[in-house]
Amino acid sequence: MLEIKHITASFGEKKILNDVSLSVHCGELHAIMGPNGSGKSTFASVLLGHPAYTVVATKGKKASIELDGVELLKLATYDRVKKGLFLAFQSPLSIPGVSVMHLLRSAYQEIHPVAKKLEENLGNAIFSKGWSAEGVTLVQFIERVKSIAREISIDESFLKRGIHDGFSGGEKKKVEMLTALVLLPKYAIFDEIDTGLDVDALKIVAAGIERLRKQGTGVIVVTHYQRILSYVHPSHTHILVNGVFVEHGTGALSERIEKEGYAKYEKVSH
Amino acid sequence: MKKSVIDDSYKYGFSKPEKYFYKSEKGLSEQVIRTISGYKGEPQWMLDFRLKSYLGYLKKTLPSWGADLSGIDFRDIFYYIKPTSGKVSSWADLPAEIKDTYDKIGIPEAEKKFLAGVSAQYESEVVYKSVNEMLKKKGVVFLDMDSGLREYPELVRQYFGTVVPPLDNMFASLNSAVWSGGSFVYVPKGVHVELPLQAYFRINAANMGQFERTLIIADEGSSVHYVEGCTAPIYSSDSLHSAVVEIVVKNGARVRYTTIQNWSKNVYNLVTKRTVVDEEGVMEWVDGNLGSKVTMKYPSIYLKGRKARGEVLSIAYAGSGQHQDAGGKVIHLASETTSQIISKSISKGGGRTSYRGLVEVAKGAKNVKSKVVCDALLLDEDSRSDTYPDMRIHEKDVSIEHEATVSKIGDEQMFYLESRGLTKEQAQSMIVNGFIEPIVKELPLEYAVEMNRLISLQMEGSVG
Amino acid sequence: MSMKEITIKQGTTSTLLHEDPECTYIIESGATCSLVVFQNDTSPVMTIKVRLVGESAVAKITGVSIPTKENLILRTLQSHEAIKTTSDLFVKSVVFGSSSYAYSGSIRVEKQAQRTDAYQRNENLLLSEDSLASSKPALEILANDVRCTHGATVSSIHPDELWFLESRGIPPESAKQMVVGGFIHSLFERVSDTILVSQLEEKIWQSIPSFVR
Repeated sequence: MLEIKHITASFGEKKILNDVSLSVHCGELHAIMGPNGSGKSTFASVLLGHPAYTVVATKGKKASIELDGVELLKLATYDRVKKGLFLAFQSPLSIPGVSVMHLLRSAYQEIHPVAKKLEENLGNAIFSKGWSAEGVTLVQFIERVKSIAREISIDESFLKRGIHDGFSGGEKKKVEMLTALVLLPKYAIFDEIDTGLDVDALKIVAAGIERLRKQGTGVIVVTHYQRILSYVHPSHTHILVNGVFVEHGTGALSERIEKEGYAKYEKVSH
Repeated sequence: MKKSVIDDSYKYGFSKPEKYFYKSEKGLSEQVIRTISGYKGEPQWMLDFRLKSYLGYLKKTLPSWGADLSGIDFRDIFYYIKPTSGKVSSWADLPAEIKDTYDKIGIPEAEKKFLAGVSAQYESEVVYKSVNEMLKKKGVVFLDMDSGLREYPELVRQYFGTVVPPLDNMFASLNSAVWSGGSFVYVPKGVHVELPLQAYFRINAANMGQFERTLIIADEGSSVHYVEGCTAPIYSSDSLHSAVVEIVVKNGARVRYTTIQNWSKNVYNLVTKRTVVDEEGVMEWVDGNLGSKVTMKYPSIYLKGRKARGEVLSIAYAGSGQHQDAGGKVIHLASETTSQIISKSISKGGGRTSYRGLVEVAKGAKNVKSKVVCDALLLDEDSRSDTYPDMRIHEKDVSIEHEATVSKIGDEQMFYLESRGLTKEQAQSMIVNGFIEPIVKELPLEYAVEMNRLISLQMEGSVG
Repeated sequence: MSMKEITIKQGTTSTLLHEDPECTYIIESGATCSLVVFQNDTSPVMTIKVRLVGESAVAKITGVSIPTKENLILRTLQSHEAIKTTSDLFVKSVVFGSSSYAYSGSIRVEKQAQRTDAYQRNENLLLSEDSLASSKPALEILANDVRCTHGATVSSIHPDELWFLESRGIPPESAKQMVVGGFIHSLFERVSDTILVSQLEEKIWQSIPSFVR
């Protein structure tokens, strides 16, 4: 279980999240909805430990983020990710020269290490780190990446390109989805994965989320609109307004938001 | 379209009979400097400053780089000329002869619109100025430099020669020794001057060096836009123009300094322009160089305070016999400072344009961003374009970019426009105007119109 | 003392690894010369001149400089002396520790070299507080029917880049190494000789200090 308790976070002087708590079990799908500037993206960044945000306890209550019983708050970002957390970015950075495949390969080995190392030299000086990952050879791994890429309509040529370097908005979102499917995280957060996608890409991304969930990943979808929620069906919906969860509900809640908007919550919180 | 009457001759190359009050002897000596200073009734410190600068000047040599300056004969120049007696306080009092000259370069238009800000300069001293009551009420000082020295001696003494030290370079030394005229501007804390302050410069005596000295101080949180536009008549022998402009931008202040330089094609225009910018201040140089035989001018910005920003927008046009050696310098001395230099140059009829620039990031200046873009257009096979940018980076957390292109007008572009019924000349003129548009749009409207017209005139009768 | 000269004969194509302190490459009409340049602390000053002396001659220069302790200087000249010639230069540096890198590159297009296409790009990555880079290109264009472009950048690894990689489970040191590797690797997409590239990457790898390896 991913258990988030009493998280208050600020960016510089500005308080953005105020006493936020949430629990997600394996194989569940949660939606966090809210208007622009409500703190949705901050919530995602704080889970991963972005250095720009400071997390403080709320009025004497103990702040914590526990993943299957392991406290993450004190851990560096990469250690949280090794414990099984994943974030798909709303607008991911590009890193020229670091190919999609290279990043996936390196990340997978970090996240799924084995005690006994199987060394394989790739013959490329710059990238010639040996391969060692749980239960899969490098050849099998590459085949798996290629096959998932095919399934979500990513052309194989993208795998050799610098990650997100010159990719369109839709291509970036699909590569983020590919990364989630390859890395097999225990808990995954998708930040505005639906923006900038055409209907076909949206269906592909939705299918990816559903596939993760069935594999047992606990998924949180962060979104402004209900659009993606016509394709995936959250069991839980949480409404975030001005850094506070103003309502928790089932999937039906998201449909109500689609009709009524956030206006009534914004009035209340003022 | 009517063929241009000027073709390669100079558009404003008319000259008026000279009428002077006092004229120094040709050439430079300690005595000439004492005479200039005495005539102006300057305080002792200014005379000392001039003499010290003169001694420095004697030790300096011409720069070994840049344009060919061997044509300047420093002995054959009048270092000071005082026109007419005293100053006039309204447009009507200006001598008819001067008004006539201004008529031809279109000043009455500006007079009507911007009477508030006009300070027209004739020869090396301001003869006409009309300062709007509004400026006075706001406490804005806008004077010629000589009056500034008389009326605000403490303020002038505090800043004069601090941004451009008198021994900075040969021409700064020369200017510091013999300066005359120019503007003194002080904008008090928090005051925003909405109308651009304008000064018109004009050389009108053969062999006369023009050594204006301008000092602008924008106090904390203030803003001002200063505009200088120059046209000059043609003379048979070479003429030297060597100004110094010093600008102090205090915390949170904003200064834009716009120049349209259109000296006649015998003028050596060797100018030192520099700004020091404090925290969160903004300095923008907009610099158009169309005229002169040789221009060497690199408006500089020292970003001294955190989050200060500097911009240089530069247009250069070099026709036959001209060399425009222009550019910009930005020295990042503090963290989170940002800068941009955009340069556009056009060479035609054997003209030569050179971009020369420097971006430097000092040790300790972190998170600095700078971008330099210079584009050059070569219009025919006799012309030349050079680009000499320089980047010196002493700090790691920076993002510094430089881009430059040199090209000719594309045949496809020409063909497309001609297929729409334009003549070659019109098409070329349109493309060139489009090329410089990003900078022209930053000019005050009347200058933008003038600029486009000048470019069109230069293009006419030149193709095919 | 005369400079070493290598002539690329009319109509031929050569890919060469440049490691000399000084060399002039003379490229004849219709010939193509692809130069791969590698510079580390053992060769602190390098001067490369490329003279395109025959019609349609082509020069492609791809270079990496890795100063770790020394102050490296790279000078290049792309001299277009004949019609329809092409030069394409891209050099990068990764500057470690308190070392420095100074690039000065000239493009000269002579009057007779109409229809020249010249390109020059220099990118520099600073890895330490004490590292220093300077870039001083110079373009002198005497012909009008040309296409001539150059660009230069100086930057360091952005914290956001490292955080993005961290968010994929990569520890900070590996992330830094990955960004540096990517910065260099992307340059070699320009070189078709893959055997040469892998030899070169091996050399680069040996030159990189262990703290990023």
